[in-house]
Amino acid sequence: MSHELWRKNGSHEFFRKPFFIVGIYHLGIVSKSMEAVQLSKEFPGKLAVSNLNFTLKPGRLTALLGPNGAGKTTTMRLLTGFSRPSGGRVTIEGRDLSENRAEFQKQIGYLPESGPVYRDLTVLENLEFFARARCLSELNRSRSIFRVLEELNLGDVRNLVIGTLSKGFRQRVALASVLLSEPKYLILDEPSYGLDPTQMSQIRQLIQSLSKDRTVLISTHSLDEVEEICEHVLIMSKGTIVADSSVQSLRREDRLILEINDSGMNFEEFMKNNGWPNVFKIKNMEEGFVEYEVQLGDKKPEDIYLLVSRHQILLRGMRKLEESMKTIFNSITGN
Amino acid sequence: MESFNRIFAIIEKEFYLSYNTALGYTFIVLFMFVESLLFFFGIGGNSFWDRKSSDLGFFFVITPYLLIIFVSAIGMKIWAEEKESGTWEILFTLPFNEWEVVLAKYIASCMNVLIALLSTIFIPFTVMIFGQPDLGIVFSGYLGVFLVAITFVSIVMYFSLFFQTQIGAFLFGFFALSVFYSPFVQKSIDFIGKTASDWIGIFSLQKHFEAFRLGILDPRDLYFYLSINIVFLSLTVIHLKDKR
Repeated sequence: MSHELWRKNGSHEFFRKPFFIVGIYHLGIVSKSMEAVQLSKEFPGKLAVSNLNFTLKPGRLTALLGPNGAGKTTTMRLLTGFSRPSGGRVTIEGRDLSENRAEFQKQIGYLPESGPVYRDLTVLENLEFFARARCLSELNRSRSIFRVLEELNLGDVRNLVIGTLSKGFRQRVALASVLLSEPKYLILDEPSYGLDPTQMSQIRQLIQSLSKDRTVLISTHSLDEVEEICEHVLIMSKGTIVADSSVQSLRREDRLILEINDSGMNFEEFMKNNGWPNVFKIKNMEEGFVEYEVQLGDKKPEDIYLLVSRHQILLRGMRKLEESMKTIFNSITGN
Repeated sequence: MESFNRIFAIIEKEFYLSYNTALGYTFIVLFMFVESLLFFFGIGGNSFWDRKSSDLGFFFVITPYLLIIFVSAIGMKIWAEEKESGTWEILFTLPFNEWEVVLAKYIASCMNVLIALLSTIFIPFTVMIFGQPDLGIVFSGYLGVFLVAITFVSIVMYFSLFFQTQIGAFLFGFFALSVFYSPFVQKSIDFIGKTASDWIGIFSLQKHFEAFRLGILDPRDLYFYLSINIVFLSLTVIHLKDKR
């Protein structure tokens, strides 16, 4: 059929057909990612965020970190279409969000900071409103409401007025409202705010499982949360992105500390010649030993062991470089 | 169809928000109580029993003034409540167009006003027990009052956008409606001169209501109120788009 179309109408018609679009979509040519391109937002007398460039990819849980006033909330508002950028653009699947904001917003679930909810509505009325607002069919509405009530353990309080519930419950209702329509893009500002440790752990697991087939960005002050569930980190300071990296490389988990007795040889040069360009001397130790930092890249620790033992270099110790997220965060943001 | 569903979702939500608590009922009962108190017992010696007349003229004179307070109270919740509770951010990240939100909130507020006006229906029925009021005038009076009320809603809706708190929205709404409807403002305009007064009078809410109160249904008055509504609703949509 497609060949016939090609012959009959020429290539232009072929490219316009939906099956072609679907094809390249699955090949990953049309990305399902959300992208900020030179994004800026200026308020009277204040540049809130400036020249942000980053990509949020599906299947990857990204954390947005930064001290208060760094521009995290402004960035999230720009990504969700709540605010219009002063410069640059947000693209979703390669298309500008501002082209058809309301249409794109159907695919975006946004949980603002401290999970605001309609306190005078019951849990069910609240969910019903969100389901209708997102144009779910009547059958889908009931199914989705039932699903989120189950997922967030809200069944017992479904007929209670939200204002009478505890902070933790209110936060769960807010999250349930976001998850109702199973949006492809989830932007969550402090999703575990106000939850007790058990609920926090449940919500983290839920977010982690949701991120498998969705694009998820969470803003949080909990560095434990980032270490526990996030794969990628964006760190903001004074309205700009100062780090855009995987959690692993940010924590420098691919780095080892070696204690070598190099007997006066240039160990850095030696390693470089053997395919290890990123080796740095840290300090001299007692008994002629020297501490080196080695970046593994795609190699394994045993490769180093084999290399040094083949050249009869004395290796006393090898350990992973461990830096807490807190140390890294403080050093990057200058706190 | 999707637009209709979304508008309906907001109207339903607004309705629940108004009547899930005692506040909505309190407003209605208070409006009904003050309205009947003023009509039957009057201000000074001007009570229904003193007037000894089975017409509702006085009722239609006082109702717009009561509506200034009532609509300001409804209006303060329209935007400021969303801003105070943080749901403002949710509302504008849901797939709504600005005009859908504005229209839905306007319709919901107009429904509240309609309920309040319907709650006073026992007043003409009571008058009918004692005499024979002109039902045509009663109908046109109610229609006029409703048009004034929904115009108040559109005005308050626009001005309350500028306020973060409900009290600020109420006070400014009250001030704005008082200016738009006040007889003192009309008198001040008259003082400027006849030509100026005639020109400005074209835009007077009170002047256009007079015809309805006297039982005259002039389509020009209807167009006038509808136009004012459209102007203020459009300004609200423009302001919301601009604020993003």
